[in-house]
Amino acid sequence: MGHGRNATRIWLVVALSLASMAGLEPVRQAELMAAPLLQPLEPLLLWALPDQPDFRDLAPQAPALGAGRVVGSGQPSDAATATRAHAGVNASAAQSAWVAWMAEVMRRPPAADGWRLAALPVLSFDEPRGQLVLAAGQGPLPAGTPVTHRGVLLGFLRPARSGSDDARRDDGTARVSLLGQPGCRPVAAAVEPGDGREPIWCLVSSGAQGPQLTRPDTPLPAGSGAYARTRDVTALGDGVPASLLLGRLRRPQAEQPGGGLLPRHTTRAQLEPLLDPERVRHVTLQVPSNWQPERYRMQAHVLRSACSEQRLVLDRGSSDGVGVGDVVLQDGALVGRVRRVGWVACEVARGAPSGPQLVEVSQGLVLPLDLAVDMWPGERRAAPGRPVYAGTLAGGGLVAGRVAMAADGRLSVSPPALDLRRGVTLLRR
Amino acid sequence: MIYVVFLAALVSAPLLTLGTAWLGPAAPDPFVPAAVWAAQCLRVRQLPWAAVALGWMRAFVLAEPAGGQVLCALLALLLAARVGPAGSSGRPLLTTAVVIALSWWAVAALLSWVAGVLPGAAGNLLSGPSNDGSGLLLGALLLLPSPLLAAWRMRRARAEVFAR
Repeated sequence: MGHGRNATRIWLVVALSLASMAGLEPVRQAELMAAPLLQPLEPLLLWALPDQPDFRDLAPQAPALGAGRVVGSGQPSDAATATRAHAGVNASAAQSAWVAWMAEVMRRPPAADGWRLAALPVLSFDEPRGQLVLAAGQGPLPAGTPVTHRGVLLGFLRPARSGSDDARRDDGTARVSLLGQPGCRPVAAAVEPGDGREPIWCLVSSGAQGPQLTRPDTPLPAGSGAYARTRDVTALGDGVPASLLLGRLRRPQAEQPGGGLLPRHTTRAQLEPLLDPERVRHVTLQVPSNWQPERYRMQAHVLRSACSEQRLVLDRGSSDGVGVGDVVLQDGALVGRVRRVGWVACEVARGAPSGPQLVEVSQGLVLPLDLAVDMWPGERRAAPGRPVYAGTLAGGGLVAGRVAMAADGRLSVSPPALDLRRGVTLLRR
Repeated sequence: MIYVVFLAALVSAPLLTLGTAWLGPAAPDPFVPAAVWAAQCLRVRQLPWAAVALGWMRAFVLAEPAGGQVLCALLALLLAARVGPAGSSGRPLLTTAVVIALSWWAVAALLSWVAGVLPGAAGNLLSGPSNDGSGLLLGALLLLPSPLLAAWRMRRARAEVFAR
């Protein structure tokens, strides 16, 4: 009897072990319960551990967006941060480079009174529905707001529920109906045929193969490649800003005997989108002035007993409101993102997020980072040692590391080291 | 007694962190003496829970899923329990430590090999730097003085008897 019970215990432990190794999420989350048990012994480690390297030479270059508010947050690390900031030689240049890049992303007419322009991070692209999913931040977002990227109109915010004026959903996301997809409203447009000719007014609506240009009364121009932009129709009650790019005209063609193709004069034409929605990481939209991109920020401590090069464990969990994907930073430098959340602790994957990363290739010039050396022409090459910034909004402008040369000749990003003696800040993604 | 093993596992976790921070991956592993103590003092029915405590804490320090380390600890404890109690000589204590270190290392190496072969399993099995065996064997050597201590105690007891 006793032998049977013992075998049951052993098999129970083996089964739980296999579940853990298979990555079963409840078991992996329960493993984080070791954090509060080890917490009382942390002061011993703090006293006895060797000094950790820090990123004193890196942090002063962190631009102000996001990071600036950390400096002024009144937290215990402020003194150290301020000391580092004074030691910086390149802070203003990096800051202005970052602001210039953001302005480039937000290329749009200025916002109206009571509103401001904000860049929102794209969480995912729902391809079957033709929708972008955005992190909606705090506060309501008006449904129907035009969503742009670098002066290109991508689409409009969808209402969270049928008949609702708010686009912000309960899970903190908002969805964008992409132009030309079913459910997206039509837009008044003007095609620029070039050669000094007058723009041709038409309507962009949803078609079977994406956005479609329609001009009911006159055939569209035969010349292909003409750009379509939004038209100022405020007199008709439509508040879509004028001059936003919509796409490029795809010339309708008809097959001729012998295989040749000739332009077909029709009143409909396809509009070729200028951006691949799968590759868009930020969008710009006009938001109310009181809108906040970050839902919360809080201080946390790293458990020194569970700190490796790939992962960290913090003493904050779902009971504190931490969520998967939250950004962890220290002194304006990106530490990593939350990968797994337990009740009282969370696990952080160290390193830069998978989104776009920006590198300051020269004074004031910031470009998206490409780790293939051949992709960098001449003087725009990202030299090893240049700071790399995270390109997602919540971590936007945070130093994600430095460019390093890997053994195989490719570039890599070496992350900033973490000072274990001080706390870290958690930001909602 | 099982609570003492839990306490030993808790104390071993920061000690392993300290050891690897100062000495690198070859630091003596304090989980081995803790496992030896568990194998010597606990009943067989308590060994699975001891394996959970030891494996869970060690995996937490090594930033690995606990399952792999718990399996290592379970097999090591079950094997070590067959060595028998230390008695007054102290030699079985060292034997138990070597059995635990070798079996722990062997299962860890097997799981690491499976992680390399099995596509997509690398993140879910063992990857910690202390699975290379040197730390575990050095941890077993921490118990090297135990036969010497036992012999010294024996000589002292005999001397007291003769003195009377």
